[in-house]
Amino acid sequence: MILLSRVSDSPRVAGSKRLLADRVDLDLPVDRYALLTGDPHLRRPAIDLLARLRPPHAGHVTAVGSSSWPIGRPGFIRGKVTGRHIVALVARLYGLDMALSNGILETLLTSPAQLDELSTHWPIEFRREFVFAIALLPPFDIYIVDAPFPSPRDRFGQMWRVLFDERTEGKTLITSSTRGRDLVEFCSKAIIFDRGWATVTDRLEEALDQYPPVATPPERTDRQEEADEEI
Amino acid sequence: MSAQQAETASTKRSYLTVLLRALAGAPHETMGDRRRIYDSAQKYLLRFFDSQDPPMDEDTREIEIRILRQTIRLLELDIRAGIDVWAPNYRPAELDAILENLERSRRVRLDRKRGIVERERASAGAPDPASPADTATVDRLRQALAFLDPRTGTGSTTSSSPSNTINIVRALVLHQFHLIASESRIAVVWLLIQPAVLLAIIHVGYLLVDTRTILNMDVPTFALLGGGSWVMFRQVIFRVTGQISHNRVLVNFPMITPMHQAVAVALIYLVIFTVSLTTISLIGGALGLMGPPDHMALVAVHFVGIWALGLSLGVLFGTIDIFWPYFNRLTPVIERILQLFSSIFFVTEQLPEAYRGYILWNPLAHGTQLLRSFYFDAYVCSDASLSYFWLSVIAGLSIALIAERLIRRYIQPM
Repeated sequence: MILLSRVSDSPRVAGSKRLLADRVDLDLPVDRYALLTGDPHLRRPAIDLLARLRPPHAGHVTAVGSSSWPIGRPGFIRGKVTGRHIVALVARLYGLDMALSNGILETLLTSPAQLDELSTHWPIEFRREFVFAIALLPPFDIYIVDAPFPSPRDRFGQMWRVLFDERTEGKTLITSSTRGRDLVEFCSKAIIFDRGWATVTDRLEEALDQYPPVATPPERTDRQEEADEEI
Repeated sequence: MSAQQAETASTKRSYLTVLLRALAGAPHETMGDRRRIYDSAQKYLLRFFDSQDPPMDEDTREIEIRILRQTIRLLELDIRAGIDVWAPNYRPAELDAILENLERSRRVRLDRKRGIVERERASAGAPDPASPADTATVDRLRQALAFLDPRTGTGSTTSSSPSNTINIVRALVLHQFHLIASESRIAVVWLLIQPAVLLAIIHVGYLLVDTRTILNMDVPTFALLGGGSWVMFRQVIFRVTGQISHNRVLVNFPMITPMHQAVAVALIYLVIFTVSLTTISLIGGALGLMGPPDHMALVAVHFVGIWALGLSLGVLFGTIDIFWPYFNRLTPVIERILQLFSSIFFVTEQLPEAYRGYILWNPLAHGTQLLRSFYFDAYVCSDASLSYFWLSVIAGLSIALIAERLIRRYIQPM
């Protein structure tokens, strides 16, 4: 469960400050939530806030239990590292057995041979599979998904969905997929952030009509390009 | 000539020879003449591809044509520039780089194709989620995942809480080291050479004025201590600043803070420079230029003290950088000024009494002089203050910790 108390936040999005939360009090008990925002650019900072990657400008976000990184976000796959290096990093951070973690990914992924390749050479399909597959390894109490779910049409998507459903049973799930279908399938409630206030509603369909999840073009600023060089 | 060309279609490196031969055998004075020759060469190559059995695949064909066109482009440029293309060893300067590039792109394409085939094969093998083979795989994965869970399974490798600071920093150090090593292997070698270069500069400066010892310290070791610790200090500041202000990658993990990243990178550079400076001093010792330290442990402790100062200054610079990105253009200037006033080229005891005060406000100057005084018993340092240095280190680290707390809310993960 996640608790927002007197949270005010206005992150910088696409070069300008935008209001995300203005003295928001919100109580999120264990459930499956779709994250919707009035301004599609604010979805990402809202995820950062709920995953506690960044403290708000004022107020507190508290969570009971461990929360995942934003699953599906290709964030931590940057620079010249192989898939094995990333698995090693996750295994060390979460105290997992490295050989077993590698074994699971090898079974799950469509082309496991890519694991030994540098991530800069990965095809887009493998990248997508990898970021979802690795999120199954550590057990979390709060799962946060920040990308469209893998398609159930192929072998990986089917197996991943079965395992993910079992993993998230009885846990909190927050998703910000840009695919409405995913949200209807995986969620039962909606968290709405709009013009500084936030609310939770049971009427997911209605909320989706009102705040359709629109994809935003990926942000590319000078600052991010510099970061590529830095690492 | 046609037999010759047929051979060269598979050995692409000799397109150049074929083109030159074709040019030599026909009028080639005007641009029009040459274009006709180039066109017929390309037409011939295409005809050759069509006649192949089994037929050539699209990718190879396209790459071959691109190689021919690039060769023509470079050759034509050289002809127009008046370069002697008939010289026996003639080869356009960029040709090899272009060939290599095209070869790489061919490999990438092949890889991608192989990936698509694999994907198709895999999904064709198990199109049905309820197929027995797949159910068995999912069962196996389910068991493995349950085993992996540190709370229920026994697959956990650590007995303590996995996300404590030491574990996080350890994981980051190993990860960042892979990154640095795979970015560029030459960078690691340069880290070894860099202190040696500064050391040589200081050494030569003193040799020119024919100084063999400075206040009972021999010049090579004196230069190593000043130059080595300065290069480490500077590098730590530079890297830590980058980690704080630009590296928004690993902060996607909830437990990792910018401070963890800064400490991890600073630790990597501490280890790298310890190894590099020890190597230089061992080489110097073997050559009879340098002596061993008189108080090994105290020298090490003060080296770490200088490192900690670098770490805190790096965090501080990174913090300023977040609010004022222009600042990172000023840091080299600040570093140059610091370099002059940090007792690297000389110690304060060499200066007239009146000027010492200007240098002694700088904690790094105290650090460097203390380092030297513990290395050489013969050098008695009267100016540097142990308490001033260590209080500055503690103050610096505290300010850095506070600064990092304050900026964390402005650091948005990528």
